[in-house]
Amino acid sequence: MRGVGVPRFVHRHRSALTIGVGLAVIMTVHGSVTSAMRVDAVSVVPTGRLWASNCMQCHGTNGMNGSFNQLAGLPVKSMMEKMHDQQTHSSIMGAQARGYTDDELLTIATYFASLPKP
Amino acid sequence: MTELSRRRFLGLAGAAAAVGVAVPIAAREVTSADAAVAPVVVVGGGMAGASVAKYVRLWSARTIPVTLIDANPDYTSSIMSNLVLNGQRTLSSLKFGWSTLKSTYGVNTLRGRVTAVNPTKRTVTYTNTSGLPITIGYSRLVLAPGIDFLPIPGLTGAAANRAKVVHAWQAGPQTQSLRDQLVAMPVDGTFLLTIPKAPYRCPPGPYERACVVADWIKKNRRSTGYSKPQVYVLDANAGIQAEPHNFSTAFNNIHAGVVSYVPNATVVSVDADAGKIVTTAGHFTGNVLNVIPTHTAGKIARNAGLATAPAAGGGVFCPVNVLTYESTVASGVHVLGDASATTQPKAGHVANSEAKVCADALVRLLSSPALPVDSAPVTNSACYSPITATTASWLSVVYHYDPVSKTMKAAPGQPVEAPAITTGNYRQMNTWFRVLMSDTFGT
Repeated sequence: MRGVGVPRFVHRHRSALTIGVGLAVIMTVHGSVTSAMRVDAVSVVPTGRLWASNCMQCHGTNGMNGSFNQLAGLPVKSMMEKMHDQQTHSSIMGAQARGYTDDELLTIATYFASLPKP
Repeated sequence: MTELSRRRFLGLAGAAAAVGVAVPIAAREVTSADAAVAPVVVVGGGMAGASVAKYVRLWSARTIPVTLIDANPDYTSSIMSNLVLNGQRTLSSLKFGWSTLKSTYGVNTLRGRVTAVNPTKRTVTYTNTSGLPITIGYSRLVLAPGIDFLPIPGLTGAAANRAKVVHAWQAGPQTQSLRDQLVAMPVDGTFLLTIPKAPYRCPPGPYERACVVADWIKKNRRSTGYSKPQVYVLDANAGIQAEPHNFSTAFNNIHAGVVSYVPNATVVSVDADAGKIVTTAGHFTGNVLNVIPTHTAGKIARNAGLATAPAAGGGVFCPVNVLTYESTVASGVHVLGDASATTQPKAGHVANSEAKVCADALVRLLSSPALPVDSAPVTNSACYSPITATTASWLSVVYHYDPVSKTMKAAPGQPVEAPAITTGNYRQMNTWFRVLMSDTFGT
């Protein structure tokens, strides 16, 4: 397993709050959105969505409809505890979980926590 | 998706219509379905193609028009198709259509055989079900044509016997043929399975097949006290290509005496009349000849001039930028799944994962203005392999983008194979398959 805190992942940890504030500022200043407007990528493509999509083959599109555990709406703390526990197991979930850094898992967990529960 | 982004994509759709992409060109007759405006055209509705079509729609809040073209009325999953051989599954249970992609996600699905791609004019031409050639434009084209095979070297024999030499490596009629031939095999008969040089589709697949067939033969076509092997695995590679521990255990213990594994056995010739396969590791005679030929990229990609990366054995595949899966040969054309040349395996689960990287990139690239693509994608590969009718193993890998080599690299210590062959794995396999197919074709 790779160590935690790999620098190249730092940019991913802008919080949902930052994104929300960014959006509010843009909407307030401009009133409406035009095609010429430059917007930070994270406001259009939710942080962690692409990484989280790796979970969806077994846990369902958007973390729902899977026959394994549902991930949508799972609190970050709960998800991280499950991942850390899984990393100690010799299961296929354990093997998958060991393939990610703690930073990556946190980003994924934050994304699923932001989705509505099924 | 936020209101902001929805408006951005609506702007995109308007822009696409304004520049008139996807207006049929040189069509003698055009139906309303054929004439769809489609900034993204996907060719091939298998694991990669269906996934990218679905996720571009999902992640663009259904604002980027997507057209999916496939030559067949539906897709037959190669995943799990070895279980047709032992009678645990039917081919019809492996069929998946695109109706949910159409009804829920708004993918424009067309049936037709693509005959030409013009990356300069950004057009793709297909023959529709009425036999009419239709040409449509695209802003981004995704080719997911899967694999083709090189001819079997030195294949001789009567036409009827040559037709019995099947690969069954694209699930369909050949799968049923192989099942029928296995059932018709005499007691104490012999099944010959040849494996081409890597890269080939589904690295564990041939070994899995040998196990499933051996298991069925032990229960149905083996005399008490018979001591000779009845499944010969003739591998052009120097060793087992996936899950070496589990498949060695299967061959040497679980199916000991029934399976004979022969490495470095490249097919030299096949005599379909005599049931004889000559390899670089000796001659073998059998009742069923399951020859999996050397793979190459699907014809559509080869004809478009995109398959410029030679592979061992003589096949060619399509080099791509794995941040976007855009061809390094033709801009605006993306190649996904088994036809591409990457460090990832050719397999359905990872094709779904690659498709999501491509979908995310397409959503960013088609935003107005375009957004930078993700610089650190992660993909995953996972699969289960039945070893008997009740037990299975699994294989798991997570890949990260390596900016130095610009390739996807397996995480340290990976791939990982199941620590044991168990009935629990077999149960999980069915769940995995159901959800994977739902994530690709349904929901």
